[in-house]
Amino acid sequence: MSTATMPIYTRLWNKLKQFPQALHQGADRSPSTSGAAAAALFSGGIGAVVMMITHHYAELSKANNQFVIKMGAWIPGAMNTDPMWGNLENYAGKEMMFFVGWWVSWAILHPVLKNRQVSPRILILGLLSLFTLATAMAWHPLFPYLSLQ
Amino acid sequence: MQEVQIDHKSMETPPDTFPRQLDIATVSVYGLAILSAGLFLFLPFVNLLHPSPWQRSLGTIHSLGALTTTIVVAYTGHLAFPLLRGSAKVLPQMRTLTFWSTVIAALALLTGNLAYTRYRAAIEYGGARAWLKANTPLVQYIGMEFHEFTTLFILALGVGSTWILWYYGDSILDKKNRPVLTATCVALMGMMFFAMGGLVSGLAISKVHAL
Repeated sequence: MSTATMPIYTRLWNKLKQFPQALHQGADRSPSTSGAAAAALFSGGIGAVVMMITHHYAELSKANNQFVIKMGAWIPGAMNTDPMWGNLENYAGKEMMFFVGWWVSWAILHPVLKNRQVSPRILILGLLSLFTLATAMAWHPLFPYLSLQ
Repeated sequence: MQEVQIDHKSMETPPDTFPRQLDIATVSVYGLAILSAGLFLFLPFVNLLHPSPWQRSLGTIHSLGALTTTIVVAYTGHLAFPLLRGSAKVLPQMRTLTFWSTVIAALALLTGNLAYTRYRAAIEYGGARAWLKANTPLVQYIGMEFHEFTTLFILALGVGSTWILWYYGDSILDKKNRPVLTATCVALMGMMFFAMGGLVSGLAISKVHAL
């Protein structure tokens, strides 16, 4: 079927799939090392693990929790005092640590790994392990009891 | 006994104006597809009937964001299969599609932050978190802990995948970059997993206590 005879929704959908054009075409280079990809994927996983470490840290004591609350206090809605609308409280600090861990590790890992070859085994295992660890860290067997102290 | 004469010829050739079985089937397939998609997309608007004003406003907005994200990310996730096989045809649209999945996921996360503030409201004002912790704490410890953290992973996986698909260009399909392509497809599947998980856990929590 030629483009002219296509129904309007098909033409619209095809146009949408090509937007933005620069991204649709992809970069005009052909990296031969997997280091840059490893940096992009590992950094997200590192950010996720850093957030979960912050989550565990905040649960350990009231002082730790206050520290995490203070870290994210600048985020809109974090310190809202209206008890009817609620606030983000320590979640804002944990979210902040996710972005800090992610972007800082990407900024470090990209130049370091850019021209290096990361083995397929490390690439896949690293990606899976980091995100699996971060997911598993959402549940802590002792968390429900810590608040009873 | 009287014999009945049947005109076989007229039965075999129905009039041209009468729709053929195949036409009826085509209209039914398209019609049912549109109706089911419409029905599914209608789900967030059920929140508009909720007695809680926060569920009606913040709940509807976040549900819309979450459902749209899940649909777009699931579409992207499904295209990861031909991409994994090295299909050059889907590669250009995968770059834009992964980008838009990430943008929509970011918007859903922002609406999630809005909903989360009200989720933490005091118990005397009907706050969901406080009520859940007092009455059925497993929903908070298992459902919400998973929901509030893992949904953020979609963003990291989305930005990383979009960047890789752009940075490596068409060379991602080359044999030397096979591990990169495989890892990117794993990340795209991870996005789908966390989007689905987010939708299911979010729905489960709001079923037990609304905003």
